[in-house]
Amino acid sequence: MLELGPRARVAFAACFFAAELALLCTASLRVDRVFGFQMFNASSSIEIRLARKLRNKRGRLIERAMPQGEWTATDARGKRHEFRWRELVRGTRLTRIESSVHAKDGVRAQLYHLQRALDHVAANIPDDAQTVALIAHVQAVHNGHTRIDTVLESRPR
Amino acid sequence: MSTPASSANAARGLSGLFAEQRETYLLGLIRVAFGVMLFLHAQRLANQLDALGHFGDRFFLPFVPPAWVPSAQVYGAMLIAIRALAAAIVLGVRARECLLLASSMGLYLLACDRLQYHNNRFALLLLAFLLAFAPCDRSFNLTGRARALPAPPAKPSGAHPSAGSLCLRAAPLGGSAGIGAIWAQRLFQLQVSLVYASSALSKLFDPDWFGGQVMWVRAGRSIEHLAENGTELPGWAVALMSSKLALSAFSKLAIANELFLAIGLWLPRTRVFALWLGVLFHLSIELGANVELFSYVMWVSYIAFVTPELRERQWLVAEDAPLALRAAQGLRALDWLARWTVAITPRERLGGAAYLAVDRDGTRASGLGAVALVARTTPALFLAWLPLALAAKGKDSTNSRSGPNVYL
Repeated sequence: MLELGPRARVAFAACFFAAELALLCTASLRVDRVFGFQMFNASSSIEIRLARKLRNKRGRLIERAMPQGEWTATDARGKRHEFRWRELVRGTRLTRIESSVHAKDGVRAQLYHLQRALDHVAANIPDDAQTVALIAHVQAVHNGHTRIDTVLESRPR
Repeated sequence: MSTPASSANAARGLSGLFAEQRETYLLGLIRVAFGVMLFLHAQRLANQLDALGHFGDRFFLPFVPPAWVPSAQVYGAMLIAIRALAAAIVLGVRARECLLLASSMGLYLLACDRLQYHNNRFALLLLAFLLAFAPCDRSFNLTGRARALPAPPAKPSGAHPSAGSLCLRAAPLGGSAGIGAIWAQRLFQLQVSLVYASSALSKLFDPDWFGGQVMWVRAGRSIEHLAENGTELPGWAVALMSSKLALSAFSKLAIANELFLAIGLWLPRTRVFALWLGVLFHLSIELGANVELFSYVMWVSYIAFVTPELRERQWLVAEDAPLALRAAQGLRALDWLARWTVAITPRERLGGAAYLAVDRDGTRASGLGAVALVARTTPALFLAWLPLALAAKGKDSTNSRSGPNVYL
């Protein structure tokens, strides 16, 4: 199978490098520039502080800070549960919050990942019947010269 | 506009590229190293699985539809399979099939979670995939198809002139069993160049990179990081690392270096410089950043740019020079790329010298020049090649050129 004939060799090479060139040329269209071989492409930093949106006794939406990404909430039966952001996104760079850290692949990439992480966590905390949405307050600096302050919010639950 | 003649020439060149037959011994060495690296790559993922659980059970971002992402059990089994395949690759048991399977599985897993994407992993898997199509299973294997490295010729017999001239001929290249179509090796080389070209071009067209801003911020962080760990840099180093002008110049040098590597590896006149720069470049990256196996992947890939033919250089040692004889033993031990034939000969036939090196084009070198030639051809000493070669040039070592059959 791996001993290709003369024509198959040319066809294989053409297909392989056409696919790879397509990936390389479109890398900048992907926020994290994956499959692009763009090494050390940014020296940006990011600091994330988490909060959650919930309703107060009057039914109004309020925002409550989540120091260290930890919070407690009750489920539908009133039982209390503890939640930890770092466990819900373990294995990723997003575990490092409340301190300025290197934004791998740039600020846009980290904001993209963070938005998806907020959506993911918000959708996967069935024992939290109180939180309406998760919020991230982000302070970032793009390549040491442009400050970016933004707030991301998960899809409402 | 192309003429029929030029089209025919291009077609001939292309068919020649895909039909090229060369010695394949070194491809076996590359295969073994890639087997080890694939094993380490899968082992790293397995360690993560043990420590953090299945990536699919926490936050992840797949390229493939979520239904295609393997379950925890299947993922664990795939990692075991990749390690088993890697072991077979190292041992040479159906090595090419195993390379194809292991790299394909690795690439598939890379598409299952973009959070686990790293350029070094992509490079490793793509190169392993291409290597599967190269005849890399004809050496360094435990199967019946094993081929021994051609043995260096025995000690030349006495002072008979014709025997001496025989000694200077390149050793046999292992016969037709070692010759194979190396079109996939060419694709492998092209892949290495693409990695550098892509990295260089992305930096070239990024104003922050080209202007030095990215390097300047990075250098500032490094100074802070070192200070936090109690390492105080000398004042001149801090001044240099804080200078926007210096880092702007350094950025342009880094980009030029990557572009040079992408092209220079292909040109015979620049290849050895490109390899030397590349080794140094990846050494500096390895020391300054966590890039997993990337440096090793590229260092091993450089073997694909080495002239495939074996034992085309001669190292002649005087039989009454114990130190030179010991050095010759060292050369045999370090000659991983099988560049050299070592021959022991009477001192008078070396013009009184203790040792003499004869390059593949017949150039003779003694003293520091000969040592530089050894460094040029042995991976473990390769970084010393350029300083030694420059020193030898400055020291007027006795290099001369002659036809291989004329000498002695």
